Amino acid sequence: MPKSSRRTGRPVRVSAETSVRPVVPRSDGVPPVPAGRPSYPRFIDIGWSSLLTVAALLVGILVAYDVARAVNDAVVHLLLAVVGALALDRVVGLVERWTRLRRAGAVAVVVSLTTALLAGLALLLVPAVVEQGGRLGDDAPAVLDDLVQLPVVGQALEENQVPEQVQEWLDTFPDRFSSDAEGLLGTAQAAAVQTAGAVQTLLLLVLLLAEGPALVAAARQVMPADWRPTADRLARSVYVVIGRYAVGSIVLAVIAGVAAFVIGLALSVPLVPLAALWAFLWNFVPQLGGVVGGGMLVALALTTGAGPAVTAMVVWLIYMQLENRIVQPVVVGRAVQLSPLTTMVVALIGVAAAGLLGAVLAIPVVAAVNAARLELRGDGTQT
Amino acid sequence: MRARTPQEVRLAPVFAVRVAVIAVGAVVLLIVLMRARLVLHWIVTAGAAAMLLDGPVRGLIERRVPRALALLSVTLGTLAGAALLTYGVVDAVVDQYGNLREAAPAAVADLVRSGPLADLDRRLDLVARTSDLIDQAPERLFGTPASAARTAAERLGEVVLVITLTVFMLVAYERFEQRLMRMNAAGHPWRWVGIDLGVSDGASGARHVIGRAVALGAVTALVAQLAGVPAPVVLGLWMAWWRLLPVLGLVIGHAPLVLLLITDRPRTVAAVALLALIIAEELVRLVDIRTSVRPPPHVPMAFLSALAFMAGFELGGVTGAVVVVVLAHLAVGVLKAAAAPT
Repeated sequence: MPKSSRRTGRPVRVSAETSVRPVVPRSDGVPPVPAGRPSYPRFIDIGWSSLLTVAALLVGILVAYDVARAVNDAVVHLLLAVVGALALDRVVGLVERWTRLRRAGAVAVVVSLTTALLAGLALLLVPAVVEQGGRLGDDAPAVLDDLVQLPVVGQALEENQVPEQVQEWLDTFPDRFSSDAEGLLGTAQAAAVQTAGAVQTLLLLVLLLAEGPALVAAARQVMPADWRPTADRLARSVYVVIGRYAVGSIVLAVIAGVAAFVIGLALSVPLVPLAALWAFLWNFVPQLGGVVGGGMLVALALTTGAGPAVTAMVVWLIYMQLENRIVQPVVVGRAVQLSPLTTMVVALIGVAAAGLLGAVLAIPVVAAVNAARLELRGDGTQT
Repeated sequence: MRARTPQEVRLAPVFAVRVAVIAVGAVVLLIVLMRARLVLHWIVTAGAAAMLLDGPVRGLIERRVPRALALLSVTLGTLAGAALLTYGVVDAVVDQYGNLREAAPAAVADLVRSGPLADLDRRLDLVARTSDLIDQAPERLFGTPASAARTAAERLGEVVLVITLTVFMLVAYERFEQRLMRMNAAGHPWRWVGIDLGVSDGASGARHVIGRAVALGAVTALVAQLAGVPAPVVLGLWMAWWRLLPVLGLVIGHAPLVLLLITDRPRTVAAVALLALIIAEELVRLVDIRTSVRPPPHVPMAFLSALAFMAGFELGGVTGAVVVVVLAHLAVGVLKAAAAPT
């Protein structure tokens, strides 16, 4: 390759693959310059093959993005299954050791127990919700009368005939719901789609739990040997972060659901199981989840009077402080090394990108990227 | 101390030209790929079909059948099979739709005669609504007769195109594999991949999985036919398709036939039919073990197949699921060959 020519003025060609001259390292932070030669314009040229490789990579990435967009649901199910599998992997490992079952057997035990637990919860919650929901219509007149007695907003509610409008809406709800055949079909279709999605996620979760080690082994085998130590380090730290985050989130959500249930029962709030379920689900959404999760409890408490609503709000705020300051550090630890501001921003971006699911998945994904960055920088600590 | 002179770096003019040429080329390629998405789907579907059909063609050639005759036999046999299946499905659907029009309103009338639904029926006239819903079902599903005919004509055109492409690819498949082998022998940069072995291995795995699904579908259809269950062809196709999905496919694939056997057939017939299904499953499992085509333990094939099935279904419906499962096997074959020690 022709190197230079100050005399002829021909361009110096620096190939993408080779360096032309040795470079002297400097200690004063100035970018290194080639040794022993005065400065003169140097020309950079990169060969066809390197450029074509870069272009092919870019085209490949864009095509992959297009395909991923087309299979959006499958990608979401996969992400959820990965997070779930990382959370349950330790449990499967423990069951494997304790029972001396093979991995598939341990997975079957864990998944069966988890499913039974969820089914049991549903059996407990659904009849109570249906019963209390039926009672809501009967209790509504008394509750609406109470509403107009509220200190600040009561008068405004009365002037705008809000109680009458709510009562009318509740009275005509069954007719409107059942007479709208299209709406019923749409609801049934949406329920079927959601159920199918849950089943798909569960299947991927089970298969990931059963074949996860094989998947890791296969991925290691395919990658070049000199990448493997770094990949192992990265995978280990990402595994710890997502695993702890997922387990911690589930535990915190269960605690929040139970807290909402207990507060609701203590204050005789109607539809307590629904409020507990709402608090449980919203607790997966970082930062905003706590407030929104408790909002339902307070709103339902409002139907029994202003006093119970204020009490519910105060007790819920105290609970949130306890969760954030005591329970969360113990359960999740320092697995997610993100500041509260970053967490909030990431959650909001997650909501904007992929709705509620995006908010739930954004934190573990960013935390995993952060853990990988720290590991590569050498600051990775075993959380 | 001498003043530091910043190093000036410029891009060679020829580099700028190269970047521009490649950028324009990449953009053109992307536009073409985006606009030709449908054609690419056809090409990929035809490629997958050709890869699957190459197995039977080779089997005939190994039995000393001339290549041209083998190609013709496999193509005509596949087309005849597809035509019979289509006829069976359409016939069953028309037949069952007729039954549904009579049975559904009567069933709803029985249901609402007493109990908690009676009040709802007085308000909503559920029987009339059910009749209307079933009468309108074809139009809701397929649109007006004119649009349904137009859609059918378009689909038929697509099918003919894909079949033509498949035949061309089937003819060229052997040359494609020979070329890969020549590239390997000549020390092509892809030599480390051992891509020819990978393609062959992947195609063989895909053929096995599809073959197993087809066999189980055929057994299901046969059992349903013998047991007198309605729409045996549909049940067979249902089973064949779902068996591409690991674990859950076993349950969903068997569910309709088992339900129909239990609810609609005499106990003895149902028991014998269920026994036949269990024996078929066990035979397939034994064949899997005997032929040793199950993936080695380090290949998480069940997970990859499930993911391919779901993504393929989202991408291209029933056909898409089959095609992407085939492609997943091909990709695993190539990756296995790449990971194997040279």
